[in-house]
Amino acid sequence: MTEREYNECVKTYADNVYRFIVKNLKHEEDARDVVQTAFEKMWRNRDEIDPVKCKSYLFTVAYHQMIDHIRKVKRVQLKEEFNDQVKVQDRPANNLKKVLEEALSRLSETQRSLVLLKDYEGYSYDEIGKITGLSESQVKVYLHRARVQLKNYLVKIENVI
Amino acid sequence: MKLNRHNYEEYFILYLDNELGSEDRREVELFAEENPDLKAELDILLQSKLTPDTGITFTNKESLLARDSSFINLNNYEEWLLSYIDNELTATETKDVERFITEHPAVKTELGLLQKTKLPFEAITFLVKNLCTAKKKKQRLWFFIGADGL
Repeated sequence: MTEREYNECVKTYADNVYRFIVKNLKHEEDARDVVQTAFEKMWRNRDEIDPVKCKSYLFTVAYHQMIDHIRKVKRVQLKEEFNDQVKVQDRPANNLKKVLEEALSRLSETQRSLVLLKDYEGYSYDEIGKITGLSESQVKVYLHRARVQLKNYLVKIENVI
Repeated sequence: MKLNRHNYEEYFILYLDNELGSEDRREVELFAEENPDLKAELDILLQSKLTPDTGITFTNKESLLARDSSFINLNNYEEWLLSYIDNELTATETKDVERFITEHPAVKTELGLLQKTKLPFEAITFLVKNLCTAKKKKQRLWFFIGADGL
């Protein structure tokens, strides 16, 4: 990958990968750090990267970087998530987008990542498996569970409203 | 694909995830039409599909770039102008340079000067015959020097 190809990758995919990470972490500065680290790694390893596969390389590195980050701040984050859930119960959502955001936040980190990779980036189960290090069948099972959870949440909220 | 009321959910999700071929997709659609109660379920599943929030962007992308060389600007335009006059840019880059020149008249003047540094074609013929004659003369000269030395 040449310098120009690297820069092209920045211009084309920086927003996509940032969107994926910030939706997971729900923290802009941390998401920026993860994206920056992912691009730094891509720059360091540019000689071994096929420019055609730069997007999946970037998402793979960013995903694992994000998982490391989550592990490091796990205890703090659990506390924040608990608070968020209390807020959600206090104030029921009134539009689909918001309900979906809330439903998404209730998924596990892995499930959330799989849904985002599928819905935001349109990756196949096979490609998601390569990015996350899961097998294709694991992706299928986890994603299916996530879909059912999202659907059940929508149904539950519709019943409440 | 054997789609029925016991296994429909899996196929609905595969349909939503775009993991079915066109024939199987059609089968799911037919099944949903024939089972209106389950079609409602498919509709809810389809609603649960997220759409990318394009409002979320990475601000200051330039900070991620390897160098600022991928954009022509007032700090690096000379290198771009040189590549421009040497025809070393892609069509898009050429357009970028031309737009930049229009926006910066001083740079246009500089481009004019740089273009003058391009050497015009000059027809120079390599005269092989003359070179051979010169060589022979030289050899003869050495011969005479040798004779004098004796």
